Amino acid sequence: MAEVTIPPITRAEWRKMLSGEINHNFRNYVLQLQIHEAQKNIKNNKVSFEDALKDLYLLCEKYSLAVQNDFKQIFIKW
Amino acid sequence: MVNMEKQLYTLGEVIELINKNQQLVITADESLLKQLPAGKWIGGSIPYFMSEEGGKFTKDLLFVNNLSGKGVNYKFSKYSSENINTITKNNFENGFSIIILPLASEVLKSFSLNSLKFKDIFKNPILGYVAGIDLNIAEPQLAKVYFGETKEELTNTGVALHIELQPNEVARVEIINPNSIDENSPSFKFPVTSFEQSECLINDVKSNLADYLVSIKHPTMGIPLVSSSNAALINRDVQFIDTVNRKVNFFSPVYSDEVYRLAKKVDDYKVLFAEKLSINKKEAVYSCLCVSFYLLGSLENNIININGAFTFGEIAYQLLNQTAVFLMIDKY
Repeated sequence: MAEVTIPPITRAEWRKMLSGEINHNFRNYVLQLQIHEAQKNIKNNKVSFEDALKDLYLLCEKYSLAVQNDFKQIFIKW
Repeated sequence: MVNMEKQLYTLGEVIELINKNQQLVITADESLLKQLPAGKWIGGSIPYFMSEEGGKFTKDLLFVNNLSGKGVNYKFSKYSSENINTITKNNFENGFSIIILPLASEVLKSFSLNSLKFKDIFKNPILGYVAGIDLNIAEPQLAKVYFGETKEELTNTGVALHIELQPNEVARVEIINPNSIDENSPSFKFPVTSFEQSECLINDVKSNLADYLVSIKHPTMGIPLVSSSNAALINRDVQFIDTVNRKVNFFSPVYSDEVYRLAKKVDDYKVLFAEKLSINKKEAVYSCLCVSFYLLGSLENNIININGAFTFGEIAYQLLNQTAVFLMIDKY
């Protein structure tokens, strides 16, 4: 199995991605949708920021290979 | 080299594949689908295809996506408008689901209005298409889907093939929308999520959408409303403008919590696809694309870098219009 990791959830960039402070356009379709829907749901109080953050992290963990190029731009190193 | 997993076959060849217990997604004219034996397949009525030889309208051949050997387990299921929200529960823990829904059906309406709210919708890819009709026939027709296990023909039910992948594999859906947003377009905001819209805000001014589209001589086909989901461009295609009742009907629902703009007119779909289709079609396990491209892009006998059926709505977690959908499997 390839060694593919993503940055720990404690990195500040995760929160900034979800809040929109980092306005990175993912290349991967499901992450584009997930972030967009999460931002709407947080705004409408349908989900807490912390739960949305966990969901985003889990999805990125699943698609760790597909998000590597995006994460090199966002997190640089981890 | 012909891709044996995604191509057009004769009726006899498809019957042979079914009899060998292959797991198949079959798209063809209903006259052919009716003749298939029971087996491990789902199907949808459409006679338009992009094959290795180019765009083709045929009622003599069937397009087969052969998913045998792609997973470690599989199952088939059917969905009504009442239980379509359970599709995510039927997914395997790690895998993907291919779904076919009939055009103009209640199950399609229910899915398209609600899918993004389904629990765990993003956990595994749900993709597929909307079955359609022969556009050359003037008489009213019903789109059909087929549930191979029991050899049922259905007009108001969705069918799905769920595939489980190995632990070191992850299914990933990507889309290509050849449209781009016209930066000169006004913004459109709608008070309700619906297939039908009338009063709305155009550049934040209360307006009527039908009146506006008539005033700009909107061509109905080819220039959808587009929203951006974190840079994923989502089209909402105009079905018709009802000038008498001043309403606009769409092929997919327009959402109240999105901001829309008009798409730029596409001059040459073939050139645009050549630019945007960076995905190697042989790597895509499954793909389909909108029938609008066949009609607007004059793709008959022309080849673009994608194989599959030209569909009456594309599904990638939600209903899409004028889009190409791909399924890739990443190995870890």
